[in-house]
Amino acid sequence: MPPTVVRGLLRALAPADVREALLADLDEGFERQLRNRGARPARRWYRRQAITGVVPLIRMRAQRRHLPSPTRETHMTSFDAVMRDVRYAIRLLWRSPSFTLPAVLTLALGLGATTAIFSVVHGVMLTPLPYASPGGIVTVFQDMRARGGPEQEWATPGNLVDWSAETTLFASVASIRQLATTLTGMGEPEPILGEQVSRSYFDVLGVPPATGRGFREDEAVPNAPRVVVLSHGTWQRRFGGDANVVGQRIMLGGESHEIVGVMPAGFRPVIVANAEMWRPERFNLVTPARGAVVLRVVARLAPGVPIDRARAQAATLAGTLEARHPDFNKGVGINLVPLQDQVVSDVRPGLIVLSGAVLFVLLIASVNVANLLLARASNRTRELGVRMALGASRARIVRQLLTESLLLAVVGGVLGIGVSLIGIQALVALAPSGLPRIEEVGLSTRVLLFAAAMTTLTGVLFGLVPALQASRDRGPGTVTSSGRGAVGGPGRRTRRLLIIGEVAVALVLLVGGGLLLRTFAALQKSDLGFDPTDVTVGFVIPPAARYPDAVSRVAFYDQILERAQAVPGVRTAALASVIPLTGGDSDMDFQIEGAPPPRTPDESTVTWYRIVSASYFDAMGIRLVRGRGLTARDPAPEVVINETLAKAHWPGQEPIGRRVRFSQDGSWFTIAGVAADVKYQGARGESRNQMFIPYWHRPEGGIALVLKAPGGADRFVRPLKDAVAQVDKDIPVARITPMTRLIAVSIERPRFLALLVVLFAGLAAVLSAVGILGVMSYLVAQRTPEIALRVALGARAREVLWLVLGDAVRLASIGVALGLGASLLLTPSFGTMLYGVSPFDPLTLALTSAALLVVATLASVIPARRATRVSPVEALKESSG
Amino acid sequence: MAAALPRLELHVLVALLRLGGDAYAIAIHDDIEQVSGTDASIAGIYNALDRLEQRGLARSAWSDPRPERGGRARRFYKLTAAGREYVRREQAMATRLWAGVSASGDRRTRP
Repeated sequence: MPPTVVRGLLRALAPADVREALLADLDEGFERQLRNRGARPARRWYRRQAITGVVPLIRMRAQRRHLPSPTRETHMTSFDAVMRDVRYAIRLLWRSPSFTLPAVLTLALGLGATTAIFSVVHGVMLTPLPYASPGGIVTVFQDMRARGGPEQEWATPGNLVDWSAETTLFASVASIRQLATTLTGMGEPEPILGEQVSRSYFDVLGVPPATGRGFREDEAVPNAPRVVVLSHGTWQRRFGGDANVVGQRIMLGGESHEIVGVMPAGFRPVIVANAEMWRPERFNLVTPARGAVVLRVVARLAPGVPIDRARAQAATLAGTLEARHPDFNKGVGINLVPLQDQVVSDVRPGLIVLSGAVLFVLLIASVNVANLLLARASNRTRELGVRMALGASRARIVRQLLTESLLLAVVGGVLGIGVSLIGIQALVALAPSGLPRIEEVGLSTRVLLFAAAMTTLTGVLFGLVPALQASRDRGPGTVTSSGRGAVGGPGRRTRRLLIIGEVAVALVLLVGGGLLLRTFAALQKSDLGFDPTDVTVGFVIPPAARYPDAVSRVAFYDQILERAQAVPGVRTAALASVIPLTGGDSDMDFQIEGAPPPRTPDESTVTWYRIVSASYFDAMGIRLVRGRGLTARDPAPEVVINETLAKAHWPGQEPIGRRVRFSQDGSWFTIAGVAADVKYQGARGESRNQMFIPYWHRPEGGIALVLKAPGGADRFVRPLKDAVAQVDKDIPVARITPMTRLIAVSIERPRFLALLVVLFAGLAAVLSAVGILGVMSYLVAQRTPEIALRVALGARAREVLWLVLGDAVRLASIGVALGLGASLLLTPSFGTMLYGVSPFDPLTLALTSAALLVVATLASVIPARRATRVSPVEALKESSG
Repeated sequence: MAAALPRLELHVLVALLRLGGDAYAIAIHDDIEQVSGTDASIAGIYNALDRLEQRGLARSAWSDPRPERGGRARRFYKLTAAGREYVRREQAMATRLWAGVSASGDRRTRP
């Protein structure tokens, strides 16, 4: 048989007089195709016939319209009928703008907001990553849970090498780490970010350079000549898109690099979003390091290996490696996470909350329009009664009313797409920095399809109840009654239920928004253990080529510290290798004097550490709780530890005076003091072990200048750069930022989320207020005779006022109660999105409930006042007339 | 003389002539396919027939129900006298128009 749906469409489209002949002919053609060429080609032929038939058939219809045809009405197809309903609906809606305009605007807001949020969800979560067969790319973590560590730990070079050898599991494996260096020789020295990657990086992603080549094996070994691949943007910006860029050389970190390739435009770096270049790791692959987890590893699964099987294989592999390297791999599992999930993992909960919020807004908008439709339907009782009396079936009336609501939805949807365009622009502009894949957010075909689907769905949703209600056969009296005299008018209960539902949904949104807002406030107020006021930081990386040893680096740090301190307006200048809220951190093993040396890596003691100057605690406002800080040029090496570390290793004992060292034959450092804990990873981060080590004893490459200097960071950009340039003109100061800005950035996402949910909650509250206003007005109009009677019998204005207000408050209270129940069920799912506030926060619940009750009462004041002005004589005259 | 016909309508008209009394849409479709190699749209053919009928160049009639098509009737089309005359004139015109021209464009002398 020909495809049923297609055949049905053709039947609907064909003019009545040729319909049977055309379908029979097409069936015959189909059967012939079926005999001669098989089922699939036959169906394809039929579909093509249908597609090419659309225009001629519409033409034939148009020609027939001009001809008088006695058979036209009786042979009317569903297509004709639908078109007639649509034309009728357009005329009706056009004639009642006071109904159409609010309905369409409400829908446009609801659908626009929904589409805008969906475009974000789609771009960030649903669009595949822009790599070749992105589904096969995974991030490979060391699973350290068996050792009390994290589930997603980075990997050691040793494991990278072992994993790469597993060709039945991985087609290719690559490591990535951030590379921050300095570009010189092209004007002012500039900090430049990139990714340092192992050779197969481009293979794993399946994206080769657009020009030139990737990395060769002999470029990824120790002491190999330096090569680099540029990003498209860097090639355009710094080389003006020079076609002969491959083969040229650039200076990175004081070393000459040969440019061997340029990546295509739009290439998405895996971990450093704004990477400008890639260069190969130069690992010792023969005896790779197995101690430190320093690498992010991504891999492409072997062809045809699904993720479940890969995970099983990886578990086996982890066991094998554990047996092979018991010292290092004991209890180290392998955790495969699809890259797509990895990229969006920390924004997914927020996006789900936003999607829920916006769907709630759409629901309220739909309910409002349903209310408007109900009100309208009751005004049309007479019209519909006449039509039914003349023989229109109930189905016919429902279809007519549904057509109207769908038409409303379509107009609302089209306007909504306009709203969403503005919304998307605003979202992208306001989005927190570092929101993954925000650049991929926009109106795509799938977003538009989604908008169309939501439009249809809402059209049916809000149209169906009123349509069924209105088409109910109400007996012979309908035609003669005025349509509003009846006390128990149609849909009264429905309408009350809609109001209750609307209030309940609005309350859930308000509670959610309130909790997120309180979370944001708590984050903003939370004490991170340092004082960001008037603190500015800037990052300096002395290239290893020019500062190869400790002596040269100490001399360099000494000098920049001295110059920075001399900048006018600087109260305290300091140095630190790790700055709070910048994401980076480093840890290392240490030994405690008197403790037995560890036999396995498991027994070693580890601490996070930063290299600092003595002035650091002063500049950052970090409190010392015991002992004293560091002193410049201490005769014997000293360190400061934090409270967490003190509690971990010297619980109830005096840590000051104890000694630690960082390698078997290194010198001992005496603990001089204990500093208050600093939350380097932000308010939600855990308190970690921390050790502060003087830079002159351990001058690692890469440090931040910390200035305590009143007057705003901008004032110090130029002097700071100059101060460093006076020491070495080829070293830039990167990312000069006030500490308060870093804090603001770190809570940007909760702020953004709270902002949007509160916005939606506000929208929901306004829409429900509009809904309450509409319904109460309707109810007052319905009860006019009753109220008139009361007034005639001596009721006072105040009593009448309370009659209406009380009704509204009763409805709103039921809605609030239901909304509270729903909130209590839903908010626990916020989980880690909340901070410093319980999901059942009584203050939030009480305030939002009260606010919504006030809004509901205010919204019914206008109809209530109208009720007090009812004149008994007029009203009774009217209803009896 | 009637205004020039669109290409498909002309094809259909000629097919009607060639097929004589047995012209229904599938047969017309096959004839066009044989002559020009195009797989014409059946609905398009109906539209063309419709136009031809309106211009008085063709007329239609229902056949008796046929057993092999589920008892459904075919709609047959025939040329009217005007249609026949139209084809005759078109053909004469085309012959004159193309006389002495080869598709590759090089000149040929008249015999």
